[in-house]
Amino acid sequence: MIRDRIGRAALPACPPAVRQTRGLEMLRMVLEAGEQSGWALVRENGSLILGGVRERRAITARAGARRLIADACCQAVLIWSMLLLVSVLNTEIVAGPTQQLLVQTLVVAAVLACALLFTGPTRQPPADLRVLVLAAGLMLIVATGRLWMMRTRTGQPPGRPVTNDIA
Amino acid sequence: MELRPPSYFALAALIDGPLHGYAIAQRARELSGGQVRLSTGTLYALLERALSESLVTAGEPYLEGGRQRRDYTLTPAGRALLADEAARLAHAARAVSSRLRATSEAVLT
Repeated sequence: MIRDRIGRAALPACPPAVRQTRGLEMLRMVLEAGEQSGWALVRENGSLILGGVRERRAITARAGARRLIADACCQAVLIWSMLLLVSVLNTEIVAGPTQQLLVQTLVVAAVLACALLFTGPTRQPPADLRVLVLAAGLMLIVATGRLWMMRTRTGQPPGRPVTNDIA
Repeated sequence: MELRPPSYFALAALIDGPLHGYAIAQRARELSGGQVRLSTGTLYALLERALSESLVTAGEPYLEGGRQRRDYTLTPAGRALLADEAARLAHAARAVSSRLRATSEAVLT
């Protein structure tokens, strides 16, 4: 059961098309070849991941310049969003637990990280765009949540500093 | 087209008939005297290439022991390529062996 799970965890390294057509077959071979020893299982899983990465590299090489540029733009947006979220988290850590929506921020950061890890390297712009739309939607929800929180906590519109100005 | 040892022995494993992935890896290891060990990633990458070049055909997937299998068959084009490669390797081996014999006789005399 654990061997099966390890194999299934390694499968996303392969491009989606390969996973769909030969995923189960490859998983079967990993399990059969890995029955000999733990080391064999590690080796087969490593080989599966390397094979998947090589296949993705081949897809990238076939993709053409225009698609690569579009892909790079998608990834740049993802990286920029990640950095933005990391800076937000850093501010919250430094300033103390002032926001109650830290979990949502972390979830969005995790989604973006997964997008970079799994979707980006496939070099499939439609998939990238879907993840971008999903991430943008999540960020919008977080932003709306934050605005609502700030309004209910301070009674002031966001953007103005909260002061104890008596006058 | 020159075949590298993994591709050569993977195709050679299919000479006797259709085999599934793991059986191809085992047969290739036997044929190469343990020299070629095809791991999952390597085998499926070269099978993918062989399929795209019509050197092998993939059968319909079937279930065995609750898991999916698929048999691969060598096509006439694959068989011809394999025969060419075997002839090329045999020629290269003969040429080198004859030169080695000739030079060793010269050294001895």
